[in-house]
Amino acid sequence: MKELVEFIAKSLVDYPDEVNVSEKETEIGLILELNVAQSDLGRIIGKHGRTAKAIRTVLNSASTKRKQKVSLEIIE
Amino acid sequence: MSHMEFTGKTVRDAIAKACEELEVDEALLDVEVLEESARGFLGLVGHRNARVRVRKRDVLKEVLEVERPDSRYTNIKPQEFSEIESFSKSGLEDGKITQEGALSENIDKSEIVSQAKEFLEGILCRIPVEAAVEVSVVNGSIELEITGDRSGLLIGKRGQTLDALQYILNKSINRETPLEEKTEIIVDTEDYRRRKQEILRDMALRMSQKAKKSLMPAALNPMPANERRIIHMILSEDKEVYTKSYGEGPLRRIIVYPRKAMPNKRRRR
Repeated sequence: MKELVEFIAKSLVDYPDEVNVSEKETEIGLILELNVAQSDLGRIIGKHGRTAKAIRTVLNSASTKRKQKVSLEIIE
Repeated sequence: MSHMEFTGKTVRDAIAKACEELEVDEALLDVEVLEESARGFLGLVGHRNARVRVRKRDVLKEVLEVERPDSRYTNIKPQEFSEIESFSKSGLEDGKITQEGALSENIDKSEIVSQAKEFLEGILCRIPVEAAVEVSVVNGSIELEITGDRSGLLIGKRGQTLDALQYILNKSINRETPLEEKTEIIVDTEDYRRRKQEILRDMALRMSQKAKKSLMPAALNPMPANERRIIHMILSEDKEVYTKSYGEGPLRRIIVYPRKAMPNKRRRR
Protein backbone atom coordinates (compact mmCIF):
# COMPACT_ATOMS: atom_id res chain seq x y z
CA MET A 1 0.00 0.00 0.00
CA LYS A 2 2.72 2.35 1.04
CA GLU A 3 4.67 1.56 -2.12
CA LEU A 4 1.57 2.18 -4.22
CA VAL A 5 1.03 5.67 -2.86
CA GLU A 6 4.72 6.43 -3.05
CA PHE A 7 4.89 5.25 -6.63
CA ILE A 8 1.92 7.33 -7.76
CA ALA A 9 2.97 10.42 -5.82
CA LYS A 10 6.50 10.34 -7.17
CA SER A 11 5.21 10.25 -10.71
CA LEU A 12 3.12 13.36 -10.16
CA VAL A 13 5.46 15.74 -8.41
CA ASP A 14 8.42 17.90 -9.36
CA TYR A 15 10.56 16.73 -6.44
CA PRO A 16 10.15 12.95 -6.17
CA ASP A 17 12.98 12.76 -3.63
CA GLU A 18 10.89 14.67 -1.12
CA VAL A 19 7.99 12.25 -1.30
CA ASN A 20 7.69 10.36 1.93
CA VAL A 21 4.94 8.04 3.11
CA SER A 22 4.64 6.81 6.66
CA GLU A 23 2.29 4.14 7.94
CA LYS A 24 0.27 4.34 11.10
CA GLU A 25 -1.66 1.37 12.42
CA THR A 26 -4.82 2.41 14.24
CA GLU A 27 -8.03 0.73 15.32
CA ILE A 28 -9.81 2.10 12.25
CA GLY A 29 -7.21 0.61 9.96
CA LEU A 30 -4.03 1.65 8.34
CA ILE A 31 -3.41 5.36 7.88
CA LEU A 32 -0.93 6.46 5.28
CA GLU A 33 0.56 9.88 5.73
CA LEU A 34 1.86 11.42 2.55
CA ASN A 35 4.48 14.14 2.78
CA VAL A 36 5.56 16.08 -0.27
CA ALA A 37 7.45 19.29 -0.94
CA GLN A 38 5.40 22.37 -0.19
CA SER A 39 5.41 23.42 -3.84
CA ASP A 40 4.14 20.00 -4.91
CA LEU A 41 1.06 19.99 -2.70
CA GLY A 42 -1.02 21.43 -5.51
CA ARG A 43 0.00 18.65 -7.86
CA ILE A 44 -0.98 15.99 -5.34
CA ILE A 45 -4.29 17.58 -4.47
CA GLY A 46 -5.24 18.84 -7.91
CA LYS A 47 -8.07 21.05 -9.06
CA HIS A 48 -10.94 20.64 -6.61
CA GLY A 49 -9.04 17.79 -5.00
CA ARG A 50 -9.45 15.68 -8.09
CA THR A 51 -5.99 14.17 -8.05
CA ALA A 52 -6.20 13.42 -4.35
CA LYS A 53 -9.54 11.75 -4.95
CA ALA A 54 -8.13 9.67 -7.80
CA ILE A 55 -5.23 8.49 -5.63
CA ARG A 56 -7.64 7.52 -2.86
CA THR A 57 -9.83 5.66 -5.34
CA VAL A 58 -6.91 3.61 -6.60
CA LEU A 59 -5.81 3.04 -3.02
CA ASN A 60 -9.29 1.80 -2.19
CA SER A 61 -9.09 -0.83 -4.88
CA ALA A 62 -5.85 -2.02 -3.30
CA SER A 63 -7.53 -1.99 0.07
CA THR A 64 -10.37 -4.10 -1.28
CA LYS A 65 -7.94 -6.53 -2.81
CA ARG A 66 -5.93 -6.94 0.38
CA LYS A 67 -9.00 -6.81 2.63
CA GLN A 68 -7.39 -4.19 4.80
CA LYS A 69 -8.81 -0.78 5.63
CA VAL A 70 -6.64 2.08 4.50
CA SER A 71 -7.00 5.82 4.45
CA LEU A 72 -4.72 8.42 2.99
CA GLU A 73 -3.82 11.66 4.63
CA ILE A 74 -1.95 14.33 2.80
CA ILE A 75 0.19 16.25 5.26
CA GLU A 76 0.46 19.97 4.64
CA MET B 1 -42.69 27.07 -21.84
CA SER B 2 -46.15 27.99 -23.00
CA HIS B 3 -48.39 30.81 -21.91
CA MET B 4 -51.88 30.14 -20.73
CA GLU B 5 -54.77 32.50 -20.31
CA PHE B 6 -57.25 32.52 -17.49
CA THR B 7 -60.31 34.59 -16.85
CA GLY B 8 -62.11 35.50 -13.68
CA LYS B 9 -64.38 38.06 -12.17
CA THR B 10 -61.38 39.97 -10.93
CA VAL B 11 -57.70 39.81 -11.66
CA ARG B 12 -57.16 38.05 -8.32
CA ASP B 13 -59.76 35.44 -9.21
CA ALA B 14 -58.09 34.76 -12.52
CA ILE B 15 -54.68 34.30 -10.90
CA ALA B 16 -56.12 32.04 -8.26
CA LYS B 17 -57.67 29.93 -10.98
CA ALA B 18 -54.38 29.73 -12.79
CA CYS B 19 -52.59 28.56 -9.66
CA GLU B 20 -55.18 25.89 -9.10
CA GLU B 21 -55.13 24.61 -12.63
CA LEU B 22 -51.35 24.55 -12.97
CA GLU B 23 -50.91 23.31 -9.43
CA VAL B 24 -48.22 25.83 -8.59
CA ASP B 25 -47.72 28.62 -6.15
CA GLU B 26 -48.39 32.12 -7.36
CA ALA B 27 -44.74 32.95 -6.77
CA LEU B 28 -43.83 30.56 -9.54
CA LEU B 29 -46.00 32.26 -12.12
CA ASP B 30 -45.26 35.15 -14.39
CA VAL B 31 -48.50 37.06 -14.64
CA GLU B 32 -49.45 39.52 -17.31
CA VAL B 33 -52.78 41.26 -17.00
CA LEU B 34 -54.43 41.38 -20.40
CA GLU B 35 -57.68 42.97 -19.37
CA GLU B 36 -58.90 44.39 -16.09
CA SER B 37 -62.36 43.41 -15.06
CA ALA B 38 -65.15 45.92 -15.56
CA ARG B 39 -68.35 45.94 -13.63
CA GLY B 40 -70.38 47.24 -16.50
CA PHE B 41 -73.62 49.09 -16.19
CA LEU B 42 -75.91 47.76 -13.47
CA GLY B 43 -74.07 44.47 -13.80
CA LEU B 44 -75.82 43.89 -17.09
CA VAL B 45 -74.30 45.79 -19.92
CA GLY B 46 -70.59 46.01 -20.58
CA HIS B 47 -69.63 43.48 -17.95
CA ARG B 48 -66.21 42.14 -18.63
CA ASN B 49 -64.15 39.45 -16.98
CA ALA B 50 -60.55 40.02 -16.08
CA ARG B 51 -58.11 38.19 -18.27
CA VAL B 52 -54.58 37.30 -17.34
CA ARG B 53 -51.88 35.50 -19.17
CA VAL B 54 -49.63 33.36 -17.03
CA ARG B 55 -46.50 31.46 -17.65
CA LYS B 56 -44.97 28.93 -15.34
CA ARG B 57 -41.56 30.18 -14.35
CA ASP B 58 -38.82 27.73 -15.01
CA VAL B 59 -36.45 28.19 -12.13
CA LEU B 60 -33.71 26.15 -13.77
CA LYS B 61 -33.83 28.26 -16.88
CA GLU B 62 -33.91 31.48 -14.96
CA VAL B 63 -30.73 30.62 -13.21
CA LEU B 64 -29.02 29.63 -16.40
CA GLU B 65 -30.57 32.19 -18.70
CA VAL B 66 -33.13 31.58 -21.34
CA GLU B 67 -32.11 29.09 -23.96
CA ARG B 68 -32.88 29.25 -27.61
CA PRO B 69 -31.95 27.01 -30.47
CA ASP B 70 -28.38 28.10 -30.63
CA SER B 71 -26.54 27.58 -33.86
CA ARG B 72 -23.26 27.57 -32.00
CA TYR B 73 -24.20 24.35 -30.34
CA THR B 74 -26.33 22.70 -32.92
CA ASN B 75 -24.32 23.06 -36.11
CA ILE B 76 -21.25 21.83 -34.45
CA LYS B 77 -18.99 19.10 -35.64
CA PRO B 78 -18.54 16.31 -33.11
CA GLN B 79 -14.84 16.84 -32.61
CA GLU B 80 -15.42 20.43 -31.59
CA PHE B 81 -17.49 19.44 -28.63
CA SER B 82 -14.67 18.69 -26.29
CA GLU B 83 -13.46 22.18 -26.88
CA ILE B 84 -16.76 23.82 -26.11
CA GLU B 85 -17.37 21.69 -23.10
CA SER B 86 -14.05 22.36 -21.53
CA PHE B 87 -14.24 25.97 -22.54
CA SER B 88 -17.51 26.62 -20.84
CA LYS B 89 -16.52 24.52 -17.90
CA SER B 90 -13.26 25.84 -16.71
CA GLY B 91 -12.73 28.94 -18.73
CA LEU B 92 -9.94 29.96 -21.01
CA GLU B 93 -7.19 27.75 -19.81
CA ASP B 94 -8.70 24.46 -20.88
CA GLY B 95 -10.24 25.98 -23.96
CA LYS B 96 -6.85 26.34 -25.53
CA ILE B 97 -6.87 22.74 -26.66
CA THR B 98 -6.86 23.67 -30.29
CA GLN B 99 -6.70 21.98 -33.64
CA GLU B 100 -2.95 22.41 -33.65
CA GLY B 101 -2.89 20.05 -30.70
CA ALA B 102 -4.62 17.42 -32.77
CA LEU B 103 -2.25 17.91 -35.68
CA SER B 104 0.96 17.77 -33.72
CA GLU B 105 -0.05 14.37 -32.42
CA ASN B 106 1.48 12.75 -35.44
CA ILE B 107 4.82 13.11 -33.73
CA ASP B 108 6.40 9.86 -32.75
CA LYS B 109 5.00 8.70 -29.45
CA SER B 110 6.92 5.55 -28.82
CA GLU B 111 8.66 7.00 -25.78
CA ILE B 112 5.47 8.20 -24.16
CA VAL B 113 3.78 4.92 -25.00
CA SER B 114 6.36 2.80 -23.21
CA GLN B 115 6.45 5.27 -20.33
CA ALA B 116 2.66 5.06 -19.92
CA LYS B 117 2.68 1.28 -20.14
CA GLU B 118 5.42 0.94 -17.55
CA PHE B 119 3.70 3.36 -15.22
CA LEU B 120 0.35 1.59 -15.40
CA GLU B 121 2.04 -1.78 -14.87
CA GLY B 122 3.85 -0.25 -11.92
CA ILE B 123 0.58 0.76 -10.31
CA LEU B 124 -1.09 -2.57 -11.03
CA CYS B 125 1.67 -4.68 -9.52
CA ARG B 126 1.56 -2.56 -6.38
CA ILE B 127 -2.19 -2.98 -5.88
CA PRO B 128 -1.48 -5.96 -6.48
CA VAL B 129 -3.28 -7.26 -9.54
CA GLU B 130 -1.95 -9.81 -11.90
CA ALA B 131 -2.68 -8.26 -15.23
CA ALA B 132 -0.99 -7.37 -18.46
CA VAL B 133 -1.22 -4.09 -20.34
CA GLU B 134 -1.72 -3.94 -24.08
CA VAL B 135 -1.06 -0.69 -25.88
CA SER B 136 -2.42 0.74 -29.07
CA VAL B 137 -2.32 4.24 -30.52
CA VAL B 138 -5.61 5.43 -31.98
CA ASN B 139 -5.99 8.88 -33.50
CA GLY B 140 -3.04 10.18 -31.54
CA SER B 141 -4.31 8.99 -28.19
CA ILE B 142 -2.80 6.09 -26.34
CA GLU B 143 -5.12 3.28 -25.40
CA LEU B 144 -4.03 1.03 -22.59
CA GLU B 145 -6.02 -2.15 -22.26
CA ILE B 146 -5.65 -4.05 -19.02
CA THR B 147 -6.10 -7.76 -19.54
CA GLY B 148 -6.00 -10.62 -17.11
CA ASP B 149 -8.05 -9.31 -14.22
CA ARG B 150 -11.72 -10.00 -14.75
CA SER B 151 -12.97 -9.29 -11.26
CA GLY B 152 -14.18 -5.76 -11.93
CA LEU B 153 -11.87 -4.52 -9.21
CA LEU B 154 -10.17 -2.16 -11.62
CA ILE B 155 -13.44 -0.79 -12.93
CA GLY B 156 -14.94 0.12 -9.61
CA LYS B 157 -18.32 1.60 -8.91
CA ARG B 158 -19.54 3.27 -12.08
CA GLY B 159 -16.08 2.99 -13.53
CA GLN B 160 -14.52 5.25 -10.95
CA THR B 161 -11.38 3.21 -10.38
CA LEU B 162 -10.79 3.01 -14.10
CA ASP B 163 -11.34 6.75 -14.42
CA ALA B 164 -8.99 7.41 -11.50
CA LEU B 165 -6.26 5.33 -13.09
CA GLN B 166 -6.79 7.13 -16.37
CA TYR B 167 -6.72 10.51 -14.67
CA ILE B 168 -3.51 9.80 -12.76
CA LEU B 169 -1.87 8.48 -15.90
CA ASN B 170 -2.83 11.55 -17.89
CA LYS B 171 -1.56 13.79 -15.11
CA SER B 172 1.77 12.11 -14.73
CA ILE B 173 2.50 11.58 -18.41
CA ASN B 174 1.51 15.10 -19.38
CA ARG B 175 3.04 16.71 -16.33
CA GLU B 176 5.63 18.76 -18.15
CA THR B 177 4.15 18.96 -21.61
CA PRO B 178 2.60 22.24 -22.70
CA LEU B 179 -1.13 22.28 -23.14
CA GLU B 180 -1.12 21.92 -26.93
CA GLU B 181 1.02 18.80 -26.92
CA LYS B 182 -0.79 16.78 -24.32
CA THR B 183 -1.39 13.17 -25.16
CA GLU B 184 -4.73 11.68 -24.31
CA ILE B 185 -4.45 8.39 -22.50
CA ILE B 186 -7.36 6.01 -22.33
CA VAL B 187 -7.37 3.17 -19.84
CA ASP B 188 -9.77 0.33 -20.43
CA THR B 189 -10.40 -3.16 -19.15
CA GLU B 190 -12.98 -5.85 -19.76
CA ASP B 191 -14.27 -3.76 -22.65
CA TYR B 192 -15.84 -1.38 -20.13
CA ARG B 193 -15.54 1.81 -22.19
CA ARG B 194 -17.28 0.34 -25.20
CA ARG B 195 -20.05 -1.14 -23.05
CA LYS B 196 -20.46 2.18 -21.31
CA GLN B 197 -20.70 3.96 -24.63
CA GLU B 198 -23.47 1.63 -25.71
CA ILE B 199 -25.39 2.29 -22.52
CA LEU B 200 -24.99 6.02 -23.06
CA ARG B 201 -26.15 5.69 -26.66
CA ASP B 202 -29.28 3.84 -25.56
CA MET B 203 -29.99 6.47 -22.96
CA ALA B 204 -29.40 9.34 -25.40
CA LEU B 205 -31.74 7.86 -27.98
CA ARG B 206 -34.38 7.15 -25.37
CA MET B 207 -34.29 10.72 -24.11
CA SER B 208 -34.48 12.16 -27.61
CA GLN B 209 -37.51 9.98 -28.29
CA LYS B 210 -39.07 11.27 -25.12
CA ALA B 211 -38.38 14.88 -26.05
CA LYS B 212 -39.75 14.44 -29.55
CA LYS B 213 -42.85 12.67 -28.36
CA SER B 214 -43.71 15.03 -25.53
CA LEU B 215 -42.45 18.16 -27.29
CA MET B 216 -40.92 19.07 -23.97
CA PRO B 217 -37.26 19.25 -22.97
CA ALA B 218 -35.98 16.02 -21.45
CA ALA B 219 -33.28 16.16 -18.77
CA LEU B 220 -30.63 13.51 -18.34
CA ASN B 221 -28.98 12.67 -15.05
CA PRO B 222 -25.85 14.63 -14.19
CA MET B 223 -22.76 13.00 -15.60
CA PRO B 224 -19.08 13.76 -16.11
CA ALA B 225 -17.77 15.72 -19.06
CA ASN B 226 -16.56 12.78 -21.11
CA GLU B 227 -19.93 11.07 -20.92
CA ARG B 228 -21.77 14.25 -21.77
CA ARG B 229 -19.53 14.66 -24.76
CA ILE B 230 -20.57 11.25 -26.07
CA ILE B 231 -24.24 12.14 -25.67
CA HIS B 232 -23.79 15.49 -27.43
CA MET B 233 -22.05 13.72 -30.27
CA ILE B 234 -24.69 11.06 -30.67
CA LEU B 235 -27.57 13.50 -30.61
CA SER B 236 -25.89 16.00 -32.91
CA GLU B 237 -26.79 13.55 -35.69
CA ASP B 238 -30.46 13.86 -34.88
CA LYS B 239 -31.86 16.91 -36.62
CA GLU B 240 -35.07 16.93 -34.63
CA VAL B 241 -33.46 17.68 -31.29
CA TYR B 242 -30.64 19.76 -29.91
CA THR B 243 -28.75 19.39 -26.66
CA LYS B 244 -27.33 21.74 -24.08
CA SER B 245 -25.64 21.32 -20.73
CA TYR B 246 -26.66 23.11 -17.59
CA GLY B 247 -25.36 23.20 -14.04
CA GLU B 248 -21.96 23.38 -12.49
CA GLY B 249 -19.37 20.77 -11.71
CA PRO B 250 -20.69 17.36 -10.75
CA LEU B 251 -24.26 18.56 -11.19
CA ARG B 252 -23.83 19.48 -14.83
CA ARG B 253 -26.39 17.70 -16.94
CA ILE B 254 -27.64 17.55 -20.49
CA ILE B 255 -31.08 18.67 -21.50
CA VAL B 256 -32.45 17.45 -24.81
CA TYR B 257 -34.71 19.94 -26.56
CA PRO B 258 -37.09 19.07 -29.36
CA ARG B 259 -36.82 21.50 -32.24
CA LYS B 260 -40.53 21.45 -32.70
CA ALA B 261 -41.84 23.45 -29.79
CA MET B 262 -44.95 22.75 -27.82
CA PRO B 263 -47.84 24.49 -29.58
CA ASN B 264 -49.30 27.17 -27.38
CA LYS B 265 -52.68 26.04 -26.31
CA ARG B 266 -54.61 29.25 -26.14
CA ARG B 267 -52.54 31.78 -27.92
CA ARG B 268 -54.46 34.86 -28.89
CA ARG B 269 -55.07 34.88 -32.63
